[in-house]
Amino acid sequence: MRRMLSCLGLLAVLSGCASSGEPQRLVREATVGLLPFLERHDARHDALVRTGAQSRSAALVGEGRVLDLRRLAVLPDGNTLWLAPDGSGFTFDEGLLVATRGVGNDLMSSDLSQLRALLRAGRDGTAKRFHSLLDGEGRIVLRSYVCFVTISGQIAREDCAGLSENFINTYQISPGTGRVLSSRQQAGRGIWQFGPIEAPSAAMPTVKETP
Amino acid sequence: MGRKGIRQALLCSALGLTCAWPIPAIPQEAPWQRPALNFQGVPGLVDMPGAHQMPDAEGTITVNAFGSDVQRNIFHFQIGPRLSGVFRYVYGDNLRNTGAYYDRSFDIRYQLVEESLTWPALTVGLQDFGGTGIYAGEYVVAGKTFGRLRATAGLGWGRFGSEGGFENPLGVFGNRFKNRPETAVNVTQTGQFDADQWFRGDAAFFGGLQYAVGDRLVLSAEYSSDGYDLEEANTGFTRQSPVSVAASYRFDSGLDLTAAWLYGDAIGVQLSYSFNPKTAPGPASGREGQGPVVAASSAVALGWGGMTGGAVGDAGAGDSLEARLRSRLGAQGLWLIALKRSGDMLEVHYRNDRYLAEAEGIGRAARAIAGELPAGVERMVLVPRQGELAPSAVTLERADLVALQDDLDGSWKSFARAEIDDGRAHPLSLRTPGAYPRFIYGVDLYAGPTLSDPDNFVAESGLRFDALLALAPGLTLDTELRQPLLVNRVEPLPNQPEGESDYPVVRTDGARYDDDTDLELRRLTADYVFRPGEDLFGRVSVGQFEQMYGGASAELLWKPADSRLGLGGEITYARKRQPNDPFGFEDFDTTTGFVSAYYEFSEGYLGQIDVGQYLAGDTGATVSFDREFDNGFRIGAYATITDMPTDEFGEGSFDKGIRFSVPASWLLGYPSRREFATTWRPTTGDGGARVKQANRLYERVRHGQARELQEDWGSFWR
Repeated sequence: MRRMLSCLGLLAVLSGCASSGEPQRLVREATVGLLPFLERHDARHDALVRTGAQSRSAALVGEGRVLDLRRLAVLPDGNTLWLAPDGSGFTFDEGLLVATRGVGNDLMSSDLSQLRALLRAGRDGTAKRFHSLLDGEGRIVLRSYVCFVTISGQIAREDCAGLSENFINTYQISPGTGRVLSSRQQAGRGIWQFGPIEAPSAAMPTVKETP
Repeated sequence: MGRKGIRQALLCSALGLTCAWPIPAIPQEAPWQRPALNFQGVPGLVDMPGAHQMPDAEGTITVNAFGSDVQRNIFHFQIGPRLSGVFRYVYGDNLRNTGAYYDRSFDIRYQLVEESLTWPALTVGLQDFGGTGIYAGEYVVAGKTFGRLRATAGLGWGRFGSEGGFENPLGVFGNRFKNRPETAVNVTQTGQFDADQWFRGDAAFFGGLQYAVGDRLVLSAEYSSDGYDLEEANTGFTRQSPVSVAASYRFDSGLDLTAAWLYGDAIGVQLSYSFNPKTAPGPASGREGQGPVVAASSAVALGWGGMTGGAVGDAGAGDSLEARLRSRLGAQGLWLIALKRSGDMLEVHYRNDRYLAEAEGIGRAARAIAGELPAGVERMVLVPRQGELAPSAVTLERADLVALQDDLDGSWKSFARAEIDDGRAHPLSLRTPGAYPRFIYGVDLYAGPTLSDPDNFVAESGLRFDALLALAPGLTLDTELRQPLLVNRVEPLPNQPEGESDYPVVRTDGARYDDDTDLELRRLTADYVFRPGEDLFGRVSVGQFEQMYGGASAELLWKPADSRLGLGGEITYARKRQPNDPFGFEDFDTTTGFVSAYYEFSEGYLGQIDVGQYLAGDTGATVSFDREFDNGFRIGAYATITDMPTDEFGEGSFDKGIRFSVPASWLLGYPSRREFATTWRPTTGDGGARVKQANRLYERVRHGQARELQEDWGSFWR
């Protein structure tokens, strides 16, 4: 009898027998997140696909997997927030990536006003870029970079140097407005390639493999 | 080259390089970012200590064996940039000539001088300063790095002066330094601080050289001044030579593997694992996905409010404000307790079930609520409640959330614009809809030491059931049931002093309570928390407090939100419980009382002193010192000294222990309030024993106050 009770109790733990449901959530998220063959899935993304929200592709260079980002919200300052199938978020300002959530070593916020001004004006120059990140203790760390921006036709190149790291971003821009259409931008744990915004479609698959 | 020649060659080269270096140098090579560990588990050569320290907050667990007779398990923690502490647990076959022997010892090291272009690093250390004394030794050691070469030379006393010793140079300060008193051998005398031995008796030189081959491999050679007299006398170990050599290889995962040839007699193998509480195993910002955002009002109008609040909400636009907020907050792991609206302000009481940093819960709650604020309401007052305690209330303006959401310095600016005041100004009442009664529960697995087996991390494991019922403002019923599944029985009852004692048995009969696997009512209390005045917190508890004691307890705490200092007092009438009767008591009863001072130093160091009368009627003080990182990782130690004579206490002489708490969020990267915490004690004694109170005020109050919120505010926009 006692063994049966113990087994029932153990099952209760594994099924998250708590009024808050938090143990259950933690076990579920940790299992899905830490086992490489399982994929995290966010119900909000499914809802966006169903409603035909705007989409664009995102791929972490070197990983070979393309994520279908769906536009979740327009923020009061005009920035747009896009959601990946696994629930991670990407915020863009006229196509420039300004914040991420859930991609690892997230970009909490950034100041790219100088870069944006050069792109709008369509001219080369030097632009300072500022990033706000969280460190391992949950404290905000500010990083700054000096970037040389060169624009050649529809392609802009941003070559940035910081105290501890250097990176190069490239953008395909819209002539006249300087708005970024597609890009290759450094963020979090690597370099991301973002495709152009596609027309609303409800039939887009959530995840697809690259050929 | 003879033994003397080797000694001279190694010492001369180490001393010469350390003291008369021709080229200024500081450590820049990758292997020196984290020094190699010696066979005593501290930064050093092969068996001798070095002068360099590990990176701040680095923790290292080391397991080694050399020969067939000695195995050492060592935990080294870099308490601060210059101060480190060591706990060592050694098994020695016949080390005391009494068969299998287990020895526990503590070291402390302090770096007097950091290495610079012109000066070597200089460190003083006390090895086994409070244990049984078999490793007792003190040293002053210098170290200098020349690119890939590091030289170390030191002067040692005690064990470090037991070979090649000469008259103590400190003898110039008095003859008392020339002779070292005998080490205590009676087990009941162990654990006393051996301050009268420190830096006494003969001294000897030791030293060595290390060379970094590439970034992963370090080769070490040393001349040791440790005579290994005890091992030679009682084990098969023979010290053939003072010279030892080792090779350490560093893996990416924090593992170091060392192989050594020790004292010309034995092969040694050592494995070390290093971790740093400042750096979580996963991504620095965690693995949690996109949280709620404050969307443009057009998005809300389009019906996106639910999803920008962080979830596909159950509640739609047609539902009541309360239903919508319950859904939005629930998606964030926040439980709505009560809503109050007055004028342009909405007051929201909620319970944070998910985030260890209260500031993260506040940030998510604010953004989730902002999209649902009714027309004409521009301000919100957020009151996070843990049980019936609400130390703070945070007032935020919707306009600030909108303006700062994408601001580079949004974290600091939002903290600066938030009004954080005392939660006392926002009470709940019995008439508040939804506030009372509230019931929460959970089932969980547990594992940890027991009273009868306090140094065993898995002495007992099983299932734990917790429940809390809030009945009225301040009043809760709190219980914990345990169903042990695996119990490590300890027979006979440990650590009871021989013969008659002047003190009652209050803890050393803990095995009577540990010794079965029946369902156990661990705790059942009625607690009333109240606010007797500004900055004051009160608690009255009645019931079964813990495994061994029940009774009545009252506590008063003074802790202003902006103060580093807290003061408290507690008085408890305690009666001993019957082991097999959940509500029964035995005859023994007593009254304990303490006054406490708490202080938050900078950089997360926390100090606490409790002075008063303990369970056995002994009087004294407990000194605790912890380091808490902003991510919630905590490690600390405590010691209790009372007027109970050390021979009455038994082995260990006085109560002491180390404790740590590892947040699940640090370990796994996903948000959770769950913490894996335990306290490790070498022994259980009757001296310095206190009743365990699950609901003591200080930690619960401190975690909800403005200073803690400020430390964690970086996660407000997480």
